[in-house]
Amino acid sequence: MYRLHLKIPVKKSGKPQLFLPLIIIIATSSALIFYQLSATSLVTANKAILDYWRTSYDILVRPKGSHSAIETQYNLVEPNYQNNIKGAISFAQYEAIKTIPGVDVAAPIANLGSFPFFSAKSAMRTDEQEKTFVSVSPGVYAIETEHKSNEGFRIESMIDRSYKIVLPDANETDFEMVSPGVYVSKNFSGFGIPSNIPLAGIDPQQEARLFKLDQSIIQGLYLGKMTAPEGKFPVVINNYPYTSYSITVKLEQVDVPEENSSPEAIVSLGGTEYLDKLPSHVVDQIGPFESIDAYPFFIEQFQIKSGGLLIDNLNNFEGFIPVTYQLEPSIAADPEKLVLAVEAQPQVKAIDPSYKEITFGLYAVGIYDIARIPKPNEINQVPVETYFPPGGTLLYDENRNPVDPQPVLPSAFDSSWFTSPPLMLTTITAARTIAGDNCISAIRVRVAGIDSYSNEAEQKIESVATAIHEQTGLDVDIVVGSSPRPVLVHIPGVGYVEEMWIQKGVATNYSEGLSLANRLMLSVFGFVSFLAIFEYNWMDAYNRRREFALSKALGWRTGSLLRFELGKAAGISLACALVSCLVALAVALIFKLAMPQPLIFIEATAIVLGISILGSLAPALIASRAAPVEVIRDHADSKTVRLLPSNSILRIALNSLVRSPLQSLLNIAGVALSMALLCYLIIAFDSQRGYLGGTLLGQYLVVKLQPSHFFLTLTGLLMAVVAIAIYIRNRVQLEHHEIAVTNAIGWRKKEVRKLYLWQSGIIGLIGGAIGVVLSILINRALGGSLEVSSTAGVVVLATGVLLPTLACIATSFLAIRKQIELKSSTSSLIFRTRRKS
Amino acid sequence: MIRLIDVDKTYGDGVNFQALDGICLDVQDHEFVSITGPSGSGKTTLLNLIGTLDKPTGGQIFYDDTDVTSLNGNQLADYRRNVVGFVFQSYNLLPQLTALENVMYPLIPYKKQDQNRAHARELLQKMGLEDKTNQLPDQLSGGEQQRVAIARALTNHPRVILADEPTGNLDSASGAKVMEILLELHRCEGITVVLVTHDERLASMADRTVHLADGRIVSVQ
Repeated sequence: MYRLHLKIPVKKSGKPQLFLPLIIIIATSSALIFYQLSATSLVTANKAILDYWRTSYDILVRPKGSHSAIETQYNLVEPNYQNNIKGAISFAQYEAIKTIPGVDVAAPIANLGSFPFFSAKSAMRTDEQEKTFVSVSPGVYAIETEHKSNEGFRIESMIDRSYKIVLPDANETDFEMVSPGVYVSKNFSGFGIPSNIPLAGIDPQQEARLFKLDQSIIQGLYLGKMTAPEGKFPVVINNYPYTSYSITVKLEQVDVPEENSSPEAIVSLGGTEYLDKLPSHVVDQIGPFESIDAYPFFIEQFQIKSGGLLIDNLNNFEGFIPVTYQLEPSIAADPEKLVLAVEAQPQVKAIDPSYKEITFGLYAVGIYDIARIPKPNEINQVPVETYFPPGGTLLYDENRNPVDPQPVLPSAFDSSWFTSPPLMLTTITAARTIAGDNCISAIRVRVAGIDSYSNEAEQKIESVATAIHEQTGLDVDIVVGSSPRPVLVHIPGVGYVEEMWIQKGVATNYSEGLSLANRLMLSVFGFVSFLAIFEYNWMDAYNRRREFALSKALGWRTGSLLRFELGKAAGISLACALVSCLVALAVALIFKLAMPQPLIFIEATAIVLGISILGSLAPALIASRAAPVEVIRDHADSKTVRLLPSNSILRIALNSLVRSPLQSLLNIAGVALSMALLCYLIIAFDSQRGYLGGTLLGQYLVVKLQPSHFFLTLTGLLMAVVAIAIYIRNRVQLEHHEIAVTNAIGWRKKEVRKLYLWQSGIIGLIGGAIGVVLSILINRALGGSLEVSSTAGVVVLATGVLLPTLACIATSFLAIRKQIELKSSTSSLIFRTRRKS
Repeated sequence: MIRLIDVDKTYGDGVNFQALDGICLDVQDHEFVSITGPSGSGKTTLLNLIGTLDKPTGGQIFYDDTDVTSLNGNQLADYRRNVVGFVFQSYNLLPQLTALENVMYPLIPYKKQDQNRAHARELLQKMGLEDKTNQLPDQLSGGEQQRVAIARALTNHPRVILADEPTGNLDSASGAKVMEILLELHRCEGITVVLVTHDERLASMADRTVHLADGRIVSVQ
């Protein structure tokens, strides 16, 4: 009958051997602290998910076939889209959507195109600019107008030149065009600032419910509150011009010979071609006039009291330039910013057969202020292009050379990449009259009865989206739980512009991914902790082989020895778990972390117990089963497996590792897994892409969570490295005979040490390299991209390869620094041992 | 010349055991000296001290004019590598290495490998083992292993060979062959040989025989 003695193993010197308990305490405390840190972060993260899950609308409905291949492939929604969709949803489909159970709000937007508008000369009369061209003497004048549009990254310029023949007996008010670019008038009645006014139709009630447009009216009334005069459509005017441009007007008197100064003579001589060749001198210049200053005059001209305006030239559909996208693989791997890069391919503007010049009147009933419309939080914004234009940042020129980041803004010109939101909104009914039954470009849907994020809420939204798609055949995107992510768009003629596209399903994926990440990290940590305990026990079993032999010689049974060893492991691990729990509690109190549930301590103790017993099992089993004569015998490695000829220290080291394939592989796996996590964290940290392909929500959460993940990963790496150091020390002890021979034949200590440090370094190097590859694969699997030559790539490579290699070498050096000495006992051994080689 | 002046060696911590007591011995260059004596007389300890594998607790050991007892670890390693070649009773070949690699082993960190390999091949050829170069120790007979061990001892062109019972584990034919090699090395190449043996017949082949008993030299013949 044996008696179980639970005591800390004591070295012969009498000094307590605290290494194993220390490993267990560090591992358990670290895991518990990580749990507390991540639990604290999770509270924040879950709150963020709850806060940012609900977007301005839940479902975006677009015409059938709107989904681009890129959007489908990457689960994205393009932001620069809604203002550019030609209507293709019918009223019947819209009505069907409104009747689907669960649909709370269905707000359509019908883009009708834009119409040109010239603000009158009165618009030019400002305090700073008193001068006009009103009083000029008869003669021939050139009016040169320079238009400059601020597109953010550049100022686009365009010059118009026309001629005016001022005749005292000409018509008082009208310019009469006598040939293209040549007009006749009595005097200058001034000129207007030309601009394109985008017009869109909305459902006033639905829009009011979704975006509170009714509450943003700052002057006049909301749509539906006032009836427009017969034949005119009511509009509300946006108070904010999205484009920024200026004009400068130069008046030049043309020196026309007296005999050729009549309109007839000028026309007969070639009109503008003739006048262009004649000398001229500047007589006056006004401007530049800024659109921001001119816009109030535009609004003024549209005032309710003016009785409305007759529009006769709506550029319906012409502004819509269909764009397709194609992945740019060479750029997609760009290290600096990108997760995804695409090339925009604007299609040739086709003449739409349904295009027709429409004549209709607009009647302004009110002015709305977009500042009063709730702007989506940037973390979870979805396209609300009716009020907020999509934006971009130019990062690279056409030749892919980096440029100073500059914004890309909607332009006043037709060639604009980003389209200005509507400056006027009319009713969807008016839109139907103007553009026909299929005039609806998109419908924003909000689902009823959703209070907060839950699985049920998600399922409900999904079922509504499915119903919309099934009943109407339209393209449907569930945008609730989405978040923007950067996409680099190659815009021909502009360069590479970063846009924030909408990544769908981020909140849900993040919630699931976070839980998976925590489990994964704890599993890896458990594995490397097991390795450290296993290696230590293996070494301990070897060192105590004579003790085992003696016990067996004295009549102990194998089972008794095994139970004794496992019982001891259990006792140590229980004691260590208790200490670890106290450490974790103290850390929680000191750093004000979330207090763990008591159940966590029980679970941690059970896991520590399991890992300790598992780590002790194999060494104890081997030691206890060995016959006394076996364990007394020298246990030097006599396997002859070899990978390469042993003609250098490196090759000898490599062959030595090959001879213990299981332990080598376990150690490599420990380093590889730890480094994979660490490198991935570095990639995520560097790119701020987080776990979900660089969405802003992911980035926000990553910043909250990364400290705890870095902490556990680094501790895990420490465990893996310690396991390797113990393994190397174990090998040194096992091979003390060979070391003595090597010393005897004249190797210096440093060469002998190198033999073992190489082994440690090789494990670290291979493990680190595998870890780097794994981290890149994980990153790619999660939608990221990493260029090895980028800064992040170099950091990951250097860290992934150098850190474990150097850490393994350093810790192994500490572990064996005193083991390589040639001592009397070992030197005698080489002469006295009668072992068979 | 190796000179031992009043060399003592005591083992133990508390209860001491005097392995060598006041040994004074000169071994001349190119001399073949055998050391004999009963078990426990201190033969191996003496060889350990001459080979600098162990340090005396008293006295001095000179190699030429160098007091080897005062050398540091690296100097001792260099001394062993450059001056001494060991031949052990149990061969002490590294089991994972082939015969050729075992012979190359002492100089692996210090010599270009193609030169090292060529020299090792020469030595194995000299030992009559040219067809065994790629064999592992386990695949060789005891005599062959010992000849590999001698080749390894010669790889650094030693001036002294210290052999501890080199034929102890061998049958008589193999033992004779090994002795023949040692004698030839002594005669033809002028290598100093210090041979520890309890076999009087082998000891008599030496130029001089030192008899030890209880850690003291009792006679020199």
